[in-house]
Amino acid sequence: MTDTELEIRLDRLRRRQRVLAWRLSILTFGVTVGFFALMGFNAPVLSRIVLGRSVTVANVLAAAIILVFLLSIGLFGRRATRIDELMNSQKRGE
Amino acid sequence: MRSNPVAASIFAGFVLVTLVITYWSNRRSAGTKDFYAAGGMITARQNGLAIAGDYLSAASFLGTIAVFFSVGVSGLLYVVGGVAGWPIAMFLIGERLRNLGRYTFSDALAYRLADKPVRILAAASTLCITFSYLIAQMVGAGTLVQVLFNIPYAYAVVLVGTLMMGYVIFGGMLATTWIQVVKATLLLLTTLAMVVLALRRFGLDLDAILGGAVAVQPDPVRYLRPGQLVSDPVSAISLGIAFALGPAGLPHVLMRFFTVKDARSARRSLSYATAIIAVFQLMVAVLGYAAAALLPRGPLPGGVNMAAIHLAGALGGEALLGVTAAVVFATILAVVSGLMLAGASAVSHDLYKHVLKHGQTGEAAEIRVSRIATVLLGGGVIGLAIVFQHENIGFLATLPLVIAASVNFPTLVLAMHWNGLTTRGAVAGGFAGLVVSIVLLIASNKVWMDILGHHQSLFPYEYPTLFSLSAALSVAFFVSVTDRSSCGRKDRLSFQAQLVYSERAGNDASVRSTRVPADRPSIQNL
Repeated sequence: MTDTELEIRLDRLRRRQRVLAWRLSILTFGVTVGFFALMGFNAPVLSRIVLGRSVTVANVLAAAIILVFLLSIGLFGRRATRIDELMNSQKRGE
Repeated sequence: MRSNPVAASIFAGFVLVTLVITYWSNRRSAGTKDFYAAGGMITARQNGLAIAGDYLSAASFLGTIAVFFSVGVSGLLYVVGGVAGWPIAMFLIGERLRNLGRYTFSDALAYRLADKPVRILAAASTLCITFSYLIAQMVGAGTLVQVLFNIPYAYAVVLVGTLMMGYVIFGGMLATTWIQVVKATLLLLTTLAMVVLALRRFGLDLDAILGGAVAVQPDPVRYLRPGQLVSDPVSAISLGIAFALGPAGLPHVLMRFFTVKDARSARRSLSYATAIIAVFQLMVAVLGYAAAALLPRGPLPGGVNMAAIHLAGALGGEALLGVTAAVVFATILAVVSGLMLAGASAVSHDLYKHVLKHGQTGEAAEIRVSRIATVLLGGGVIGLAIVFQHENIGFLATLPLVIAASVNFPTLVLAMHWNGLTTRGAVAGGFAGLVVSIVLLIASNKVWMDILGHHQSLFPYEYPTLFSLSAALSVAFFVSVTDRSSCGRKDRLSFQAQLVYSERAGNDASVRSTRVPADRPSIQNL
């Protein structure tokens, strides 16, 4: 790959990464504020038992939200690592 | 509660280790880069632990378990909220801040905006955040030590304050980072040990722990019903916003992005920190339910905030109670030293060097001012913590996240991501967020009624973030789009160069030449 091609590819990846950063931030923000609003509204669905004798929707939802946060940083980090690798190879003149 | 020799000896051991770290750091630190940013030689993993350590205060450990114990599933708000801010900090701020800044987050703001006005704003918000955080932590520390070690409150506050000042004055960022790493490791291991013991007690069955917690409640339905912690949806949404956006604006956390060598390490630090905080919060939820299941109903010695300590005693006897008490105290010690460094840096780096001396001062003088600021801030905080001993300062603990979400976060994000932001817009929006958040907190029922003794509050909600963040964003937007000054034009034109530098610096040496020249207008021109 030539320097110009590499630069074009890097620019495209950086643009996508910026879009991804905003999408994931809005997702994180929305999920958090949505969860707080549900808790604040005292939504009856949250106290429904869904697992075993006493695990409610609120507990499952909280664990799921934290899992989504972890998956989102994994996705963002993976995409960012690809950009780092390309930038390193550009620096080395490959 | 009588004093515990295990707790006393572990705490003494921790203090000894921290003093050795401070001495070692002092010998290795030479200039401002070492003092403020640990020479940029902290690894991503260490920094992740230190960031997690900064955030995982005694309040998050004791307070969250206390909520599960006394109120029920509403504690999940703190569990989810505690994790929510870190992904956003990673996506929108981490790498760019590392590339644009040097020692404090205001360096990044001053990259394309006028130096002095944005530094005055950043220093004002940093001092408000650190002061409120420090007083809350110091009052908590004094009360905790009084209960656990039978030391008079004033002595405990002076002891914590003196140690905190010593760490910062002699060890700088290197010492506070390593103290955070040690403390975070101890806190995680202690929490893990408690979770393992709790699970063993209930046959490794999470459902049994929650079932046990529900079974002993006088009103099981109420325990499982959310909405006990925050009384109305507007306050709940405001609290959610503070949790989601606040961590990315905490000055003592933002300073940690400069302790690693490059933007990639800053990003990886945040990945580690998020994972550590997520695991910690989930463990704390388990312990909260275990506390409700195992501890007797009715008033606990030392109050409901001591539920975690009593749970440790119930799970592992006097030895685990002593270990947990010592680790909680070590947590307070580590958190206050990080906060103190952020406050001192705002005074020495932002106000003294850049505002008073126009950036023209030597490293030795800057560090000297930082040390003097540490003594003055530390003395002030010790005095105020003694004065506020009998006050309910719970509202102070929420103030840092509210201010960070209403001032630092919007200003930083707009400066980094919106080409239309001008210096006037940033300063007007930032101060609008600061004033609205503080005024509405004072007008809320927590202060207006509980502390000032009025019969009715002026502001009907518990948390003001929804309003203060809206004020900050709308004022910043309106002032920026109507700004026709030459400074405003220059601010907008500089955005592209900043964008390139913020995404490529550290990896691509050629972009360093695109850096915005430092010919910014002074505050008098605004």
